[in-house]
Amino acid sequence: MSDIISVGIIFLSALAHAFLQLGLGSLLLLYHASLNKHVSKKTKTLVSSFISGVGMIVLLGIAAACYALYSIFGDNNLPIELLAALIGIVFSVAIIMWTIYYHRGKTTELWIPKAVAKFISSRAEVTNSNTEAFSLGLLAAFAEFPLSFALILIAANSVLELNYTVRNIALVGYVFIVLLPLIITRLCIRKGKTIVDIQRWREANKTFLRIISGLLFVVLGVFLIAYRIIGVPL
Amino acid sequence: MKELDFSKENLKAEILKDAKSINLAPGFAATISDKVSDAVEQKVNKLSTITKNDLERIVTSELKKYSADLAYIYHNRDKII
Repeated sequence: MSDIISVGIIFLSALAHAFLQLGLGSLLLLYHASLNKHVSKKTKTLVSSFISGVGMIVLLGIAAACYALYSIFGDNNLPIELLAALIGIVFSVAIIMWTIYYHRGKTTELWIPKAVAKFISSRAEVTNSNTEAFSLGLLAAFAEFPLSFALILIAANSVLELNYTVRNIALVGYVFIVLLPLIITRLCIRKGKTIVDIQRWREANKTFLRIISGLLFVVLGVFLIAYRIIGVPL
Repeated sequence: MKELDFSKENLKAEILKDAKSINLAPGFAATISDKVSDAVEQKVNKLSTITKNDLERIVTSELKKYSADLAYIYHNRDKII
């Protein structure tokens, strides 16, 4: 039963992580910059490299968190005080999602430092090689760590509660869920959608995305309180 | 607001790049860029000073006459993240 709860926590954390928008926005910038100067085959490899970069940093992030937690606490769970602090951060991020993460008006701009947004935009503009695209993916995922680090720590703690045999599957599953929006976007563009179609969809459904992403953080927080702090039996 | 010097050739190049990114046919894109840059030049010449926002608004309204998608991507390219 404990494994089911751990898998539930990993799944919810990954889902909340997947709803963060910086990776998707950076991917669209890369598409826009690349399609207007390269043939589409080159763009496809650049985009694949970008997605690999995001996946790599998320995998390294969660693996490093697992290692750090195991080094500090061994086979024990996170102390309840630390878990409560992480839950507090999760609720705070939910409030950020509902209030300031998305700019108001008809835009998909995000609440990130302007210098970071400009740097990512300028890097997307000059990205010509797979290495640069991979690095851009690393950068985009890393820039979102202030919002995702609590999720990664919570998921890492739950990964450590699983059997040795399923830990690797859980890690890969987490990364796959985080990458899903990027993979779906890539498939949509392959099927003939343009970046305008995707950007319009994001703009039209901004309120929905805001509500769902905030709600996912809240659900994760409540789930943790119920099963990890209060200890409700399944 | 920052004043800027208008360059017809730069505008044409920008429109062609944006058109390519949304898979517009090259011939159609070239026609649009010629027509829009001519129209924008005429409007800009009537103004004593022009800001980046003014230019963006004028170009977007001209592009809308030919392609809503192109106008959208031109207007929103700095507003994705």
